[in-house]
Amino acid sequence: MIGGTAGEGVDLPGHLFAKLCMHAGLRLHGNGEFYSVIKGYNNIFQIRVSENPVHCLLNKFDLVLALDEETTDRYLSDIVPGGGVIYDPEVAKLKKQNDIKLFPIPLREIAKEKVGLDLAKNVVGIGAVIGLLDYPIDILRDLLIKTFAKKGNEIVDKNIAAAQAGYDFARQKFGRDFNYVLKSIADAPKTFMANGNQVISMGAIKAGCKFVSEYPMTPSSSILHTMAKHARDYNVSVNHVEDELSAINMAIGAGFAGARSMAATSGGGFALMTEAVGLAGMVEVPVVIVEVQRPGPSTGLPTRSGQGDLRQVMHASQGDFPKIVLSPGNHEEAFYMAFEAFNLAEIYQCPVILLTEKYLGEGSVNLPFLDTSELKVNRGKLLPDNKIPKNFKRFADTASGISPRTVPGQKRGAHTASSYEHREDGYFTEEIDDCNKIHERRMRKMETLEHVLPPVKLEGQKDADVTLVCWGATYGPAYEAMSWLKRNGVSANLLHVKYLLPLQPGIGEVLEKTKHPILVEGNISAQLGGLIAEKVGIEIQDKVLDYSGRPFTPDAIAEGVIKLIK
Amino acid sequence: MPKTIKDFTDPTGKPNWCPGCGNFGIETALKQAMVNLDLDPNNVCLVSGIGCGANSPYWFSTYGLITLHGRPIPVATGVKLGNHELNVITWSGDGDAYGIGMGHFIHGMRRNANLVYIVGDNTVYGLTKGQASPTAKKGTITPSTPFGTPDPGINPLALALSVDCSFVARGYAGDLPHLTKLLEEAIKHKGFSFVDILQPCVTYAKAQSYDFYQDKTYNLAEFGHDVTKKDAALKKAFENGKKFPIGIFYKKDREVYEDTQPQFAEGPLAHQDISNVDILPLFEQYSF
Repeated sequence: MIGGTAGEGVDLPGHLFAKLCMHAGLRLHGNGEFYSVIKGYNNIFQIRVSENPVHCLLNKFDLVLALDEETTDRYLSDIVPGGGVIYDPEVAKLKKQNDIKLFPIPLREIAKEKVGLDLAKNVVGIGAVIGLLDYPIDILRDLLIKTFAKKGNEIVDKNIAAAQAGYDFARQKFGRDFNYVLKSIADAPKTFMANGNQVISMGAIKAGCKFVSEYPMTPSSSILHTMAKHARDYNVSVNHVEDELSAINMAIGAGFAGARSMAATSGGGFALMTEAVGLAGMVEVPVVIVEVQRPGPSTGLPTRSGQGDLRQVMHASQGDFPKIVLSPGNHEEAFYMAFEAFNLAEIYQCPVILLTEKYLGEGSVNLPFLDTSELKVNRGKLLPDNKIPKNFKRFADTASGISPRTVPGQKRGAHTASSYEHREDGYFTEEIDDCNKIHERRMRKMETLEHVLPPVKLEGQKDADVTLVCWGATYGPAYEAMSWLKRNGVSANLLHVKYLLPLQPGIGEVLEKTKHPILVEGNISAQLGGLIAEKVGIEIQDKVLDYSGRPFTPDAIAEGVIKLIK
Repeated sequence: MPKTIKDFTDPTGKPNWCPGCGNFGIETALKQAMVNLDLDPNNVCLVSGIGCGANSPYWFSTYGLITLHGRPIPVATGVKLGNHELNVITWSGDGDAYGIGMGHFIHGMRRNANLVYIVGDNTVYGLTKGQASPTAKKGTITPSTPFGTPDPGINPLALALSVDCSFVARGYAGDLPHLTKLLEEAIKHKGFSFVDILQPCVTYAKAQSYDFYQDKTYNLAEFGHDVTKKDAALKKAFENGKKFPIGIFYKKDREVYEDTQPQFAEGPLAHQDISNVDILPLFEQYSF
């Protein structure tokens, strides 16, 4: 873990360390915890590495690089026995500890001396980390060249000098005094590193997303940044527009024109988009909205994580209309679900909301290159020019509820799509039979989808003492909590719900057979629990809820569960 | 065979506006402009918001999209960017454009996408029964302002000029030949073509009747107005009240939004092949 005051740069050493672990063939999970300020306050960047896939983070640290005093004040007690802390004796005075190693290194002084810049202390620090962990410094040097190449030779050289000085100091002063080493794994598969927002952007690009309109909002903005960065390589029009109202309405316009489109935001921005979600439902235009949750209400905790928006997105906009809400459990699933979201939007001609949270969106992992061979773009009932009948009715009544669709420019396909209630031909109506018929036809699309959704799967052993029930990226910590519980003599399995609207089938069947279901959710009102009670008729009494804005950790979940069953 | 107004008319129903409504004039002039420019109805998308005029797409044989109050500009921009080969024509009212949708109006002009923005300006909210709109004069008595509107009316043309809108014009729903020609010019102009149309509401704004406008409007072109001079245009924009100049106030060649993104060069986004996008290079880019 790297901690420092905002503005001191904890991101850079975090990124460098993550890349070095990737180079060593390890799997990792990284996440930053920040205050919503640009300067001041203590920020941390955590990285957990393993030879195996890493499902989540822990609140215990093996090695801490402290750039400020607050980091040691706050986190010294979270260092595991045998772990260590690198700190600058100029900023923190630490007493000798019984079970953790102290590595005082004059980070600032070295930075000043070697490169004439106090700020380079973070790079000195990462050099020291590499020294303590006995990893080749050349790899860090290569990485620094890559990272700073665009900024010119002088900057590259200074950073290399800073890293080398930190490395040398640690080697000379502490030698092999630390119990941990960073070792390369032979023949590890090639991986790429991305956060959830980047992975979703990749899934969207793979799905042929051609249009993005967005207004920046933490923690969703890196979708805008990522799409913008790759816009020209993949011919995607990416637009930073005046507000979220514009973002969603523009995406709907592009969807109507026949381009796959997306808008991403967080809870507050989604609240502004709400009216247009209903428009997309009414005019039956495909559009994908990514909502990366942070804790509300109102401005809430802008840079933290939470799962408090499930009910907001489910119930967005007045009236009943088809709308799909899905939520991935981890980065890999986020990629495939982003792809799927665009297919669902076009097949069912309705808004699709991909609901994630800051923990996933801004948390990074490395993954082996994902298999895309099975991914097929499905444009649903979008008619080719030669299949448009003479008396084409855009909103025709069908058994599935899905009507054939045309887009502007197609001959014989012209129609008006209206936010007012309308007949099969698109013309407005207030006649009772017409209104009922089209309303029922639209809602039938949800039934059609429900029939093809894959049922939920119970993970872990069949008969367990407890069944953890969760959604979204709580999956990772809950998954690992199973083994923490096992070590504490409690057997556990896991039910992760991926489709929230319509609610994924099979939940009732699974829950009826479990001994003791326990909800694990990142909100105060157990929103999934309420949904299951409403739709499945099973009220899950026991809950482990966290609304602190900090991500779940497996040890905390296990602790919560054990409290409940004692 | 040359097209006629019939080619742009959807025969399903007839406009449900009040007899004498200014919208009839706008509808006819717009259809005639499409005829004169020989547009393909399949290639036209008429986008509207909410208000009396917003029902117009029902009576056009083109593609149409009736959206939300205040949001036609972003939706129309999305349609245009989704397929920039379409003729996108946006039809708002003064509540849509200058009240709830004011933010989009300003940013739409800044953005300068190649579309037409018509605003039927009748100084009232007709569809909700006659409340004052943002262009109503200070002191106007309506059901929502029984003691007179406390706010002064806004000046849409001056506003448009201040954000360097590339085509600023005013028409009058009671002068069809002039309005038709004006809309033709608006459709032909490459950029965001803003046309404010003085439009009598015979039911709720009886003070702004055809009689009121008939003698007060005059054609700028007949008085030697130079459309390339912004200061002259601004002066004319502030002439409201005693006289209402109509015609093109200001016109400028400005880079259109679509030209800022090379992504459009390979044809409309909606027509680009998405069946098998190769993202392996992306994985590579994010590897060590």
